[in-house]
Amino acid sequence: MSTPDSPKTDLAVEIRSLTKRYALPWKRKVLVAVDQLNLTVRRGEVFGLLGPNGSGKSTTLKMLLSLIKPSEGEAWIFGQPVDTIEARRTVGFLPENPYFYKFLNGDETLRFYGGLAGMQGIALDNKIEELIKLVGLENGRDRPLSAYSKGMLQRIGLAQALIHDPELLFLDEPTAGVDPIGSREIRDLIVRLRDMGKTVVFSSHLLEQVQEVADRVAIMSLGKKMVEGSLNDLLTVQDRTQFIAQDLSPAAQEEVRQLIEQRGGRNVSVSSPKLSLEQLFLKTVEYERAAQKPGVAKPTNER
Amino acid sequence: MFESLFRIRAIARNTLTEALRQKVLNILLLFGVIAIVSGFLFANFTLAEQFKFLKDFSIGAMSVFGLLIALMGTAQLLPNEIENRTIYTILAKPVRRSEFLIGKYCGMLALLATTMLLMSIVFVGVILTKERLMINAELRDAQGANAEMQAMANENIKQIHKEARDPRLIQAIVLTYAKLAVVAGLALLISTFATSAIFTVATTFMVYIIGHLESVARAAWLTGGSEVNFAAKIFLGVLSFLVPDMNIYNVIDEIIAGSAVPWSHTLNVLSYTGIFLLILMSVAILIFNEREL
Repeated sequence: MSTPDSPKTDLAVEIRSLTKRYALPWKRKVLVAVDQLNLTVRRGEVFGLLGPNGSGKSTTLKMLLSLIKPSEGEAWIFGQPVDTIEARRTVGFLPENPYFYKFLNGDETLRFYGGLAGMQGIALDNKIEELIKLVGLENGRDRPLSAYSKGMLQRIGLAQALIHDPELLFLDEPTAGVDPIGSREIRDLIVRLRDMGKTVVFSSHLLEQVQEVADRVAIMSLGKKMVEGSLNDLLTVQDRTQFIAQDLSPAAQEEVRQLIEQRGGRNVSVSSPKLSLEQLFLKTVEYERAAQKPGVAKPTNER
Repeated sequence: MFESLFRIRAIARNTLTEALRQKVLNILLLFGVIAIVSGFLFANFTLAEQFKFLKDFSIGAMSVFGLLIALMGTAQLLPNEIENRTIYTILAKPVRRSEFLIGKYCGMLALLATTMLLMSIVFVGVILTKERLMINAELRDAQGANAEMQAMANENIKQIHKEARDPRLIQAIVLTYAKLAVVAGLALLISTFATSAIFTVATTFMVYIIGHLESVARAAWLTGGSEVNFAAKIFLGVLSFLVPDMNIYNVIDEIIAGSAVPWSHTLNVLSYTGIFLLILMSVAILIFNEREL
């Protein structure tokens, strides 16, 4: 049974020469959305799928969920071919900009998706309780989803993806359209999911976010994989060295620079590290939020 | 197998909840008005005519409102799921596409059953009230009258009873439901390859009309002797396989007109409906399995 070519069950995702072509008959052209993609995701890692809009990220995820059929190639999830129902038992999916059923409230939504995964009774009740807490939606349980904010929708989406305790999660642009704080919370959740032993594959075109949480990434462009590897390997500039020091006077800086040049270092530059705009935003807003909390609140004359 | 039914039930229940929370049942208010108006507006006609008006209008309104729900509601089921991307989250769970489609259809059948049941209750309420009022009127007229008048009143009361408690109305309602099930099935099948709800509504409506003309055409062409060419026969053969013969539901009109239609005939029509629905759903599943989402 086991040939050298058989899929490996220790890999969360294995993709071999996956290709998706769309015929455009009225233009007499063929659009290649995904082109000979080879990719592996290991168990327990957070994998970032990067690329500009239209680079084939969503198409790839859809093929992994058997929502569309590949024109060529094969893919497996934990060794199961993706077009089997068994493959989907181990997978949770959050689509891009999800809407869900507007007329259901948070609780009913999770109950519905739990039912689809074959759950019922106390096991389902407990799971809903646990997930509502995990994604922090205690205030959204009884509200219909039509009254949810973008960030809340994304969180209920994450909860429904997790309802049947899948080992692998596909998140398509999980932070698209969410404000920086909500976006931060989703990133924290991804990290927590990894700590719980889940494998997470997520697509994004917001690079900084990917950098913060992903172990490994692949960058796609026009349907082709351009780069794949661990972030650390990809981002370390091998022939450069960086020092960061506090309270170093300009004179001392000059001395250090001369010393480096004496020892053969070239192209020395001296500057102060900068916060990213996002870090500044979060620092500012979180300070303000903490100050608003009861107990920390500043004395005020307003009633 | 059991798991599969469980998932179908979850999807069907969700479809029904969605429709109910979108206030589809408001249509009942309109139906109530029609039933009451048709029940009490035509008081200066004969007994039999009065009841015929009430039955005609009420069953007709049930049929029209049911058709609206079956057509518009079903045509939107898949496009809404696809547009809102809810279908992705459902099919990403261990759910087969066939289960999804059957679940959606069962949800629509449940909605149609709920609407028909509630309309029937309103209808029965109106017809029984009318019975009560008319019998009271007869009794009032007969009071202190001569024996001949009293005998006539008794005759009238018997007729009122017979008209108001006509068990054949159950046949009419069941057959109306069967017709709606076929329309919903057609709309669902068409929506598996349609690109918009409008296309589905228009095409289903067209098939519905063809379904009514089909048997007329068959009768005219096939009994036309040897002059009917081979191509016409093939065309009709294919047509009768693809398009349900909607004229079989015309017995509803006969029932309301007062003709006796045996239950065996009704059961025949229901079996035809069942077989046609099986074919419709099988084709729908085959197409939907291949659809790119």
